[in-house]
Parts: sequence; C-alpha cells; structure tokens
Amino acid sequence: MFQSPKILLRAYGVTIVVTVAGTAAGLLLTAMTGWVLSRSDYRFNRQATFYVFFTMLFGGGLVPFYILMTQYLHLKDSLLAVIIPGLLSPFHIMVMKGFMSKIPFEMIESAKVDGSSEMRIFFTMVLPLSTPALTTLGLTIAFNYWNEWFNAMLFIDKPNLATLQLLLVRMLSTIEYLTANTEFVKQLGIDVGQLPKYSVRMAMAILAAGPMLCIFPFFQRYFVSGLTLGSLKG
Amino acid sequence: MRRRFSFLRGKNGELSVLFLPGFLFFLVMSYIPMVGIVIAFKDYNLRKGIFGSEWVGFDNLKFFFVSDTAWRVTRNTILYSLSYIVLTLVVSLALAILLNELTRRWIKIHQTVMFLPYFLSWVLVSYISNAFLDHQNGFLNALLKSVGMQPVEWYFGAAYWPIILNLVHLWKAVGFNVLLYYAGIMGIDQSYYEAARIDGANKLQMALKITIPLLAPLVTILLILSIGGGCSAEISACTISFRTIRGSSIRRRTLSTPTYSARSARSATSPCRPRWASSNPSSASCSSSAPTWSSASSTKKTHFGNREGPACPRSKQPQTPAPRPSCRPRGPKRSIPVRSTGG
Repeated sequence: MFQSPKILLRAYGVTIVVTVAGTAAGLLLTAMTGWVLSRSDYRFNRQATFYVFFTMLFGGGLVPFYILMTQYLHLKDSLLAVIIPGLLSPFHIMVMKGFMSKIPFEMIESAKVDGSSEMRIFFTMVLPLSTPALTTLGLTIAFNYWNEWFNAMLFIDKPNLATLQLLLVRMLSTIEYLTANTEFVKQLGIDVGQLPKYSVRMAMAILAAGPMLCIFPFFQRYFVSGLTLGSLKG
Repeated sequence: MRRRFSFLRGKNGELSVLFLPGFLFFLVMSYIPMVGIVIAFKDYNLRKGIFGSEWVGFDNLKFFFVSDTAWRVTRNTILYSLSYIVLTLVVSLALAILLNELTRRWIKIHQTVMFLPYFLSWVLVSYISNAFLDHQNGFLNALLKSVGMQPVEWYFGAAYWPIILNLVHLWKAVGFNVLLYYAGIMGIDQSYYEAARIDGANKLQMALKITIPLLAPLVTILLILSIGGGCSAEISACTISFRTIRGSSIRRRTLSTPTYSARSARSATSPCRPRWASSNPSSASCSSSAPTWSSASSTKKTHFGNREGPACPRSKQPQTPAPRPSCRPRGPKRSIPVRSTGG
C-alpha cells in the first residue's frame, strides 16, 4: 500500500521540478513587472501600479478560481496548476519595485543616449544591477514553491504528480481517518497495523523538511539582508 | 508588418511589452475570478456555466445568516486574528529587545533558531504539532502519563484549540517579526542610549523610554498591515515591501542625509530643499511636513535618515515645525563660541 521510497523519490522529483521552474519564471516575471512599475516616466505607470496592487486588496475567492482553473484553463492534474498561481505576487513586485526605483536613472538615460533599447537596458543593465533583490526574492519564491501544498491539493489528483507536501497532507489525513474509524476500516479488510508506523511518518516529515533545513542556515543572511534591503541600510 | 506593430516601439511600447506578462497574469488569476464572484448570487449549474445560470439574488447567503453560525464564525475570526496579532506583537517585541542585549554570536544563533519555523510549511507544522498532541504517541500525553495523570484527547476537545492555535501561530510567526523589530532597533541612534546611560538609566528604563517609543511607528505599520492581511506570510511580505516604499517615498519627499558635510551636496540634487539650505527662503517649495522632518533629523546626529530611520524620530519630534535656531545643523551652533571668542 505504501511503497514509500518510490513514491517519496517521485514526490521529491516533482517538487524540485516545480520549484526550479516556478522560481526561474517567477523571478523573471517579477523583475519585469517590478521594473516597469518602478519607471515613473512610463506613460501608464499609475494605471499599471493600480492594476497590480488592487489585487492585493480584493480577490475573487476560492470557488471562481477553482472553476476557472479546472473548467476554462483545463489545468487539473497538471503541474502548471501548481506553478502558475505562484508566479507573481503583488508583494514580491512591491519589493522589487522598491529596490529597482533606487537604480540611478542617469544610468538608464545614458544607455538610451547610446542607443540601447528598453529591452536591452532591462536584460543587460537592470537585471545584473538588482542581483541582491533577485537573490532574496528568488529564495522567497523558492521557499514558497517548496512549501506549497494548497494548490496541489486542489488541482492534483494523480498520485504520480503529487508534490512532497501534498504527499504529507494526504498521508496525515488518510491515516487519521483510518485510525479514527477502526471498526469501519476492519470491515473493509485493511489491517490498521499495516499502516506506516508513527515514527515512519515523522521520518518522512523530516525528509520533506530536510533540504530546507540544510539550506536555510546558509541562506539566512540573504534573507536578513533582503529584509533590511533598501529601507534599513540605505 | 513593421508599421502595424509600431506602437510596440519607443519607450512606452517596449515597457508595455515588459509589463504584458504581468498584465495577463493578474487578468487571468485575479480579475477574472473577481468577475466570477457573481456565482454567489446564482443557482450555479455546471452545464449552463457561470453566466448562463439563473440569478437568485441573496438566496444562497440566506441560510448562512439565518443560522447562528454567522455570528459564531465572525466572532471566532475576529478573536483569533486579534489574539494572533497581539500575542505576536508583544512577544516578538520583547524578544527583539532582549536580542539586542546579546553578543553578536548569540544573536546569530537565536535568530536562526527563531527564524527556522517561518520556513517550514504549514503541513510540516501540523506534523510537528501532531507529534506533541497525538493521543497515543504524543509528547504531551507521555508527559501526563509519566506524572500519573490521565492522557488528554487533544484532537477531540474544542476547548484546547484556541490555546494550541495561538501557540503554533506564534511559534511560526515570531522569528520573522523579531527580525523586523530587531532591524528597527538597530536603526535607532546609539547616542540616545549613551545619553541615557550617562543619566543613570537602567536597561529596563532604556527599553521602555527609548526603544519602544522609537519603534512605535514601525509597530503601528505592522499592526495595520496585520489587521488587513490574512495569513502571516502575506503580512510579512507586505511589511518588507511597505517599509521599502515608505522609506523611499520619505527620502524622496524630504531631505535626509548621512552627515552634515554631505548635506549641502545632497540638497542640491534633492528636489526639496530645506529652508536653511536655500539662499532664498521662498524657494523652499516642499510640503509643510518636509521642513519639520529635516529639522527633526538635523537636531540629532543623523545617520538616521538613510538607514531605517525615517520612521523613528518622527514619533518623538513634535509635528509642528521646530523653531528656526534648532533647525540649523550643528555648524551655526558651533560658530557661536567662535564668534564670542573672536569678539
């Protein structure tokens, strides 16, 4: 019933794919949007800023979102359903914008005088210049993807697409259900004793947390410096 | 072809192209579901779709408000968020102040330990709390048994949960908030503490009379944000960004420079010059709050301005413009004795 090594490895793979793809795409999109919003000389700056930050205050709620994702975008049982919703967040864009608005405008202007296009300015100047913000936000986004389970729970039913966190949720809730209804389960012919032992479950939790626990101390200083980015240290 | 896409050329066109993916994202992920909320007022039928279904007005909401759940659920939400906010605020503020008293190495260790839960997913947090609360294997029940008490079925008693939820939330959120407050404390000018030490204040007095009043603006912001935001992750992300924006907007609006020597150089580029810096007083075209701020900061030794500062001294300083003499940087003050000796 639980061939844990295979399932676990599979879940690891899925989670890593989601995290890497989501972080790369999300970071690029965040940087692009943040850069446009930080350009006060952009003609539609006000509208664009309002457009993005309005979503911070109001949302459609879960049900319309679910219907949209499953019936109109047909993303059920697709990893895109886990990746796409986490790509952009107004909060991340805000941080990015705050950082990028401190890039001296004279630099941009001099590049323009030299005949560079906006695209080129963005990719060859702005992106390298905002490495500190990119590191911090990249880590934040990566952590979010690694810890993401809600969208996975909503949209992923196929067991071979389950992410690590989803696996843990499913395991916890299933076992809790089975042990809470022992009588009923016995009638079904499932031996409760065969369920993963308590310590095994906890071991899996450790495995799921493991990489983050290992990585975290090394990246903590990026977080700390990222938090103090801009407003705190000037 | 080239002419048709000419609107994509030029500065605004290219920036629009850069903005396009974000535009589409928010359109699909946020705005379309917002329209979809009309589903609440419809008798939703899968085959007819959202817009084809019949309009039933408030019928769907009737049962909720007729039942007594409406009141209970609302009360629970309010009470929970209130206790989350207050508890996190008090505990992390206290911890941040205590953290400030440690040596550098210990700060690092404490920070890591407190910050760690912030990066665990709620799933893992539920596993960890399960390790404590499990009926047969949990730590808490084992502890109760070893003391000779009856084990408690934590998962079946409603009364325990307000406490459990609060503790778990605190455990997860405290590290991040401590970090924010600690960063705020680091931004406080050390000369306040020096002065207090000379006057013979003890640590507690310093914390109560200096640290907390100077952190008040930060606390206010975090409070407002945490009232607005739902989950802790969003709150925290929001706070970072809000502080960034706040800092930069203040910096743009007012003058805040690291040292006096740099001030005149900076004020030339600043869009808003303080009165004392401009040769002609009428050329000071900034908003009324600006001179107040610059004067407030100039009375202190301001490396405030460029650091976390902007928010801090505001609370201490009166909002009314300070009298002219105190507006001046130290230069003129120092020149008084010089003049007197010369004369």
